[in-house]
Amino acid sequence: MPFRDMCRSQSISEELLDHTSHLRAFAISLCGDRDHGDDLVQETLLKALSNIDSFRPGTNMRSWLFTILRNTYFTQCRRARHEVRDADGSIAESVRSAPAQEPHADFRDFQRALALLNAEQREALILIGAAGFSYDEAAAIAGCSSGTVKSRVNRARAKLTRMLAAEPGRSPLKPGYGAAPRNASGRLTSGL
Amino acid sequence: MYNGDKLREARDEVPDANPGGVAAQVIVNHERAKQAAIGRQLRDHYDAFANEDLPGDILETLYDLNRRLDRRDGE
Repeated sequence: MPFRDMCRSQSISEELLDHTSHLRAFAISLCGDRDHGDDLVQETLLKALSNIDSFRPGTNMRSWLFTILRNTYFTQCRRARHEVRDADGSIAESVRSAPAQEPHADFRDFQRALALLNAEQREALILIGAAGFSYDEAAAIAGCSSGTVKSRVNRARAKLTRMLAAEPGRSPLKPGYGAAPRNASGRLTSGL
Repeated sequence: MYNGDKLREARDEVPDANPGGVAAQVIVNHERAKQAAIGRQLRDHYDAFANEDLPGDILETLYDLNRRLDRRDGE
């Protein structure tokens, strides 16, 4: 039976609307940039509609949407031949969360630290620690084993802990940090 | 360095533990507390965006998708 006969558009639209806020939170957290995150959401929604007949009714639309978004993001990364870096903290600075209230300094440090993780570790940490997926669900979204997700989450937590606990002169989150490995263009090299 | 209060608290919880065991437990508890703090910051970061109103251009896209789905149903 065709999908359109099993599930009318009304419920599809409602489901899309229900999931879009979390999809956007995932996108911005993953790419570290508000505008880029919104573009990813737009592209994801359009791809979802184009491929709506491939969605299996009764399965998890949220996981399906997150999968489309992360695949779109990592495809962009591969095309660009580099991952998102934030050498001077400008990207992390741009993703301040609550316009009505200035974020606490610790919160800004956290945003910077999150942006400095490598993309796969950041993805795993967000899916498990914030979006509320199980390890098996996150593995299906990321296209890897649940063991890989667990190890990425553990490494991400350990790196965040080290970065946030480092003394100012040794922290990549603080001014004056000069020991970080950089490439020829002055960008930070991958993960700590 | 862990202060005496933390050690005392740990001893209160595990009165029969040997001193080495207590010290190890304090370290474990300290690490767990740090991880819990990072977990809270991560959720706060994510929720801040999840709780924002959707931007107008995304709402327009959703509206457009809704119309296209309606048209498809009418075919």
